[in-house]
Amino acid sequence: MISNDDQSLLILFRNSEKKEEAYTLIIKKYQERLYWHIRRLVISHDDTNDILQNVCIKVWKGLSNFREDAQLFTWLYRIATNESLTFLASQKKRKAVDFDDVSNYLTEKLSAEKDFDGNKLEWKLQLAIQKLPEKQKLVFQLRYYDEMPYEKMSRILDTSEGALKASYHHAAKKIEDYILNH
Amino acid sequence: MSLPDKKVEELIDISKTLANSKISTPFTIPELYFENFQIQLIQLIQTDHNLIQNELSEIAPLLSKLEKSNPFSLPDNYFTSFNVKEILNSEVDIKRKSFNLFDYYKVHKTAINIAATFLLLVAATIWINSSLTQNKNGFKPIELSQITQQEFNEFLVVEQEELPMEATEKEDIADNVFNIESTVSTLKEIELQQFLAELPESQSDQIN
Repeated sequence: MISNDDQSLLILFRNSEKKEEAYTLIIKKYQERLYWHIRRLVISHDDTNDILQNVCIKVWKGLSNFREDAQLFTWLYRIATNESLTFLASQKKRKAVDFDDVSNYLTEKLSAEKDFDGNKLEWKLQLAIQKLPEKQKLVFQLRYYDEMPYEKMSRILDTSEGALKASYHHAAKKIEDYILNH
Repeated sequence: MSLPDKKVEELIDISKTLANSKISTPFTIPELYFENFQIQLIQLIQTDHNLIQNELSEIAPLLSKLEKSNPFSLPDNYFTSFNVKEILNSEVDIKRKSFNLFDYYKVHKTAINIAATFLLLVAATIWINSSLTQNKNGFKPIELSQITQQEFNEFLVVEQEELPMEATEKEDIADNVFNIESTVSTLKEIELQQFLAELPESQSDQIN
């Protein structure tokens, strides 16, 4: 039986005969966490599915060169984050919109979600999150939903822990104000 | 703790002393370490969780009390049916799915700009040339000698109708329609000869 820890999976991946098996196990292990991380950023399931597939392809192509100076999980999250931000940037260019319109674009996507009800707290929370600037949104979601330590977050987002704490602080306050006032 | 038999057999050939000695580890661990390991791990995770909860309750007390529910839906069995092998085979590239004119322009910017500049120059040249060869009414001028008497008279009649004139004025003009013969009769001979010399041969024969 193959061990599910990252170290074992990476060793297995380096075996050319077991490469695909190891890769499949890695994706199975992390796909759900990656999916929800992406989904909270881009909202739409279809977009998330496309981005997740792109992430999987990049992981396949890059795993051979993965240096293990960072944790596998951190590396995967970094790819997923970058792909999501790239997607949002391409949406910005395609529609020639500025930040406010991207925020509105995501809010519209949210409103189109099945079972959306703007009066319910869980949806209000999502609406509030979409109003945040990109960095604050990322930090908030990683801390609030994934309960990620700042140290790990710092490696994913390439930002100092102090800046991340400040971002999280501002984001949480803005979200609370939004919920209280709407 | 003694070595398993296989290892003893192997060691006997190398070192009888080692093969016969009882192997023991000199290191000590706390009592019930492995028994408590799992509990300690769970406590550690909860500590992280508690830490984050405490942090949020200080920043945004209301938010910290909200239940972390997930409002998003996804298709049934999405994760079980997520097939990585199929993805690698198809190599779906979201960028290539839809043709983006803006991205296309970015890539071929130089060529497109050169082509657009060239087309503009050609269009400008054509426009300049055509405006030089046309009068302000858009007609190309033709030589007066190409106009027949009948055409000229018809022209005057049409012009007369279009002019915003009083009825009496129109009548005056109608009486004074240009008549080449009466005009010719007022010309001096030398002027007439000059005029005839300039006419094409076919028309000068008619007049003669």
